[in-house]
Amino acid sequence: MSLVIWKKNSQDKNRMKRAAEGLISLNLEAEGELRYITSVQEVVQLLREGADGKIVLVDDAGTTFLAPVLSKLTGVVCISGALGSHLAIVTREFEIPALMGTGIENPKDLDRRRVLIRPEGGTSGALFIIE
Amino acid sequence: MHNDEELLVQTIEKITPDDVETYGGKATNLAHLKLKGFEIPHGFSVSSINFSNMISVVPEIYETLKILQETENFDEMIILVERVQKLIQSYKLPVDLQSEIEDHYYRLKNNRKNSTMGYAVRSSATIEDRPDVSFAGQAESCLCVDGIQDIIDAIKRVWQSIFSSAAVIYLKSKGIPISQVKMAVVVQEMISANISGVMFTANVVNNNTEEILVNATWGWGETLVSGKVIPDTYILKKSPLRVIQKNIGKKQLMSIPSSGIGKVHAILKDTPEDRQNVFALDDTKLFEIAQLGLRVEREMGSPQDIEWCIRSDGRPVILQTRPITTLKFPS
Repeated sequence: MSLVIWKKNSQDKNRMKRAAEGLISLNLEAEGELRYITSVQEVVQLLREGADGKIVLVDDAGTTFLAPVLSKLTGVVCISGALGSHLAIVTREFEIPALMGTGIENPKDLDRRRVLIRPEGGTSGALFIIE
Repeated sequence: MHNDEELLVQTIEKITPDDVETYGGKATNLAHLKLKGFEIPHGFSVSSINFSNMISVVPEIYETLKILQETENFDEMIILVERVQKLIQSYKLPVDLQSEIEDHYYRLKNNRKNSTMGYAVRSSATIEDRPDVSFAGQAESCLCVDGIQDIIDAIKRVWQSIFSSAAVIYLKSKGIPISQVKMAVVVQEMISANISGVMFTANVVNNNTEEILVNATWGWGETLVSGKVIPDTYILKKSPLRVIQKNIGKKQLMSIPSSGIGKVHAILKDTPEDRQNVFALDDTKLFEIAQLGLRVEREMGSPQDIEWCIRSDGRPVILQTRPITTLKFPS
């Protein structure tokens, strides 16, 4: 699995901008290029392009939508949903963290940005943009 | 095709733990809970034998599945799953099966005259029992189905859904041969639910079996499991039972029965604003749900992933239980 563990240091902290908070499905960090996906065609496109190491941002937690790429992703961010949603259950099976219920209002702004999903204790987690 | 011991359709109450290959995990687990006195929806299961029979009597389905099993080409997969789905859609159920479903359906309908919201038709695949495979959300569930023809169509839709491209890829990524999947289908009365949710009797985020994680929302739970809303989240310690974390969700939408003339169906409606920002469960109800979860866990012998709802009369009902697939402990 291509999970990158983030190393905390002051230089890195300065490069990170907090973008959203949510509930994290697994106590794991993940870093990668984010892709905002809204259709099955975009999933297929991502599959062809290479989904390895990517973090996908989706509006809701219908798992069937993401199935083709789940085994290749590093993490998932979901605008809605929670830890009991099917997406959270299935991503755990693939041992990748899903940050659920983030309520992100402008998802397109995050597309193709390098991001970090970080657990923050309990079931809380946050999404950071790496500048 | 089948011997006398293997019934094509069976009421949930009569299913035993040995029947898991025939009636699938969902039906078998519910039957176990019913036997122990838990409140579950009344219903019946259409056995996986019928699913296997369909594949064996329609050679095109069998042959297409064989190719589907071998291919790794995504474009070919899409064409093959469409072909299988069309073949299932046009499959005519054998007369004996149709008659069994009719018998069970009308018996259920006559015995449950207060059930006015139709029936949920859901998958009960035999692989759902595996400790490492939840199959969560991969097969279709049809809500508020009523009328014998609609029930039969819904059963076929659930069969079809196991061969969606997403489900096939999920199976392949888990190393499960498509031919190994057998699909029973559960037909259950719809429960008039004020509040619904999911509960894990262990904290799946940090693998802590001393904690319970509960999600809850207004109306039916479809909005929660499909992730259309941000539900409330509660974490409790088991002993002594106490709340250690609460996060209020936005619960913007509710899945509720339609009103008006004609058949009831499930609709999505905006949640009234004064309920969006209020916890769906007060502490009394939360503890009642958590204690119910602990009883289910004890009965099933391992931490469980439970779907539940609270009926309009305030009683909690278990809709589904399955082992948590992702707990990991240090070796």
